Amino acid sequence: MNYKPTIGTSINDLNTPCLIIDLTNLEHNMNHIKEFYSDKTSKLRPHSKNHKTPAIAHLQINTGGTVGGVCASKVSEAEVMVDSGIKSILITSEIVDVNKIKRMNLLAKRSEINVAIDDFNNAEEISKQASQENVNIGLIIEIETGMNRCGVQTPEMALNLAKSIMKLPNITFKGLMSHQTINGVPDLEERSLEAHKTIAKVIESKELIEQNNINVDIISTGETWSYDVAASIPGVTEIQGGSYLMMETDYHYMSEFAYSAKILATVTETQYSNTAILNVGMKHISILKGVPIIQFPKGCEIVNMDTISTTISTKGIDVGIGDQVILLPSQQDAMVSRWNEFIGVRDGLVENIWDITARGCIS
Amino acid sequence: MSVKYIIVAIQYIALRADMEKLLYQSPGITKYDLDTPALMVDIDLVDKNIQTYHAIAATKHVSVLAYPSIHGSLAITKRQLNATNVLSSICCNSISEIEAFQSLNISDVILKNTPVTPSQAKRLSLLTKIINISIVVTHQRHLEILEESLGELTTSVGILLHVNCGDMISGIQNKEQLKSMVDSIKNSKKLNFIGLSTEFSEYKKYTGINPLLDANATTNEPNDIEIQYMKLLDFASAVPVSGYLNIIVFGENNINTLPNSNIITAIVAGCYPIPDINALKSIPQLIISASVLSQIISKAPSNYIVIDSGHKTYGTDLGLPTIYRDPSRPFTSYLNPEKFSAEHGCLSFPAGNASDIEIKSKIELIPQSMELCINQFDFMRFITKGIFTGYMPIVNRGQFS
Repeated sequence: MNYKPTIGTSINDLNTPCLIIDLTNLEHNMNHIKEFYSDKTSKLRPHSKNHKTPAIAHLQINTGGTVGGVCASKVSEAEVMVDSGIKSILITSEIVDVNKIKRMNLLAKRSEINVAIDDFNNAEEISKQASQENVNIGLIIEIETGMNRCGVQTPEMALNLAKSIMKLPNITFKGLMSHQTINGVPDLEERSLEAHKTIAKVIESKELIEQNNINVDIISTGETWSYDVAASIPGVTEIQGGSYLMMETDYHYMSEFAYSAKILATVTETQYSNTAILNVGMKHISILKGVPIIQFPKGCEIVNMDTISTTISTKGIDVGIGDQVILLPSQQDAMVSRWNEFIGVRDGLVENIWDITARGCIS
Repeated sequence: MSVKYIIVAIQYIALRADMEKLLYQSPGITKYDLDTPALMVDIDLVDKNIQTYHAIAATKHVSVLAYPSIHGSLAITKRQLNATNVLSSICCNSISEIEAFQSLNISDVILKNTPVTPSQAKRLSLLTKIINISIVVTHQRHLEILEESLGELTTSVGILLHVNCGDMISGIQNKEQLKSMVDSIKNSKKLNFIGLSTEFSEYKKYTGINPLLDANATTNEPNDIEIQYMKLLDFASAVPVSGYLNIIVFGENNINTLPNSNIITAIVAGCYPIPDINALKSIPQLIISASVLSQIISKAPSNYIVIDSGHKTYGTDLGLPTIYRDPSRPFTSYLNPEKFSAEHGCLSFPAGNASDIEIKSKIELIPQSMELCINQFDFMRFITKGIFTGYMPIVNRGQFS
């Protein structure tokens, strides 16, 4: 049995390191999404890869502003979400393995399953397997819009793939999707320009496909950084957003969202003046988008990290052995996957514990 | 053997119903039929690495102290403990890990990280009623916390004082501090001084420059083990106790450069059974025994292919994984890791070389850091001669506190 704190424990008494989630901030972020999308034709499709926790996915859906379903990055993640009762899933990675396609098809008996695709042979395989299982899988053609990763390169390629899909049984061409990224600290205008520029290829593809009398029901695109500006682009039906919920320092410019997922650590050593060592390291928190920021005590900075410890500069701030430190992640989804549970806290007390049920679900 | 592993895995799942939804695939299939990404461990090669490493340690006159925090596997820990030239205890990073490894029925455990809060110290105190625990301590304050929290404990807790011989970050700084702490322990009825520990750094010296900025560099920089060893001798000479002194050393990748020693009891080691890139570079006698099987899911871009595994598979914080050049799969000879995102990896190839790469093909990658990779998975897939033989849970996954 894992160690877990009892409900009502003071945050000061938590065994660390631990992954805490500030429930007030979490609710603030979900409510912001609800209000923002209340008068929009497009809605948010929350990405479950960020929290890997069905309980949180249901909270997002029930709060509002969403399409009523979630994104999942892998089949195994989708399985956990479907098992929890979620009725609409968009799998945002291409699923090419026959065994995984079979697993995906079984999910389609219990939930609406749409999946990203960028290759005709893959469509043929999904169709073949879906026919054997007598289910229907929705296919969403991925358009490459700046990530230099998966996705067809041009609107013409998207059209050809859509046409080919239309000929195959037990699969339905549903629409298009894309991912984008943005660098630096963009303001609203820069975010809007970048979103319009990158999503233009998706809209162009949609128009080309529709000119060929093929319906494009879904345009699923956007990210947390474009949740607002992409929603205003005509034709976009859903925004894929995940980071907004827990936030990360990489998105610090999105000040309408509050940091909710944090690492609580403890000072274990103070050998050198103006430095302290924490009981947290890269095994617990990702540094892929930069080292974490210390939220408390204010003024401390990270100067070194290894796998299980971190050295911070305290710059004269009074920090002693046993003191707690709160760290904010630079990339929260790569952090969450390292943990077993969220410890929900409000007003300094543990209110609930959510098992991260889809942790380890990477296949 | 495989049946035993499966039973263990099923028992483990029953105990932890909230864990990874194990998508059962029958033992007997080839490794290339495994769903990906899959952490594959060739248990025969694990045994060879254990033999190799323990033999090297023997030439240095040191034993091995198994450090399962790195690999998290009960089966691999048992193999370490059954090898020659090994101590009977193990070293763990956290109290939760000690709890996770309890099923090994090991009577002695060394805890690397001192609990510094009352609630953790209380958990430790309760554990000492069923298992002998020694603790690595770096600060006088740790002794005070332990003294306060061990309460009415009737047995004493062993203390290893951690001296700073090189990394300049952690540990007791000088002989006066060491002597003072030894004296404190002597005056305690609950604490028992049993020796020293230290970590031999692979970096030349901590300079204050953030090593994260150079995270992709190899760790094969020249080190100054001799200097660190001399510091250790100096500390040991200052210990005001008579008789044999236990000294354990962290920094297992230094085994080849470790001086022949009559004072070091053991080197703390856990990665060598399933070495990562860092270990393979530092200890060329080791062989690749663990890899992550991944699948090509897209070749839409013109100059690279996309695989179904990224940061969340490898834990790439210390660098990208390296592709295993499989002679039977020629395309693996020219693919190179280019960039990785949370869920995906992009592997580049020279222009015109993509014709023999097919979507659905599977390739193996070796993590830069096995410790970070292991924590991304709930199970290892054991492989023998290319055949999947069973699951083995990673029992310390997420056991941090």
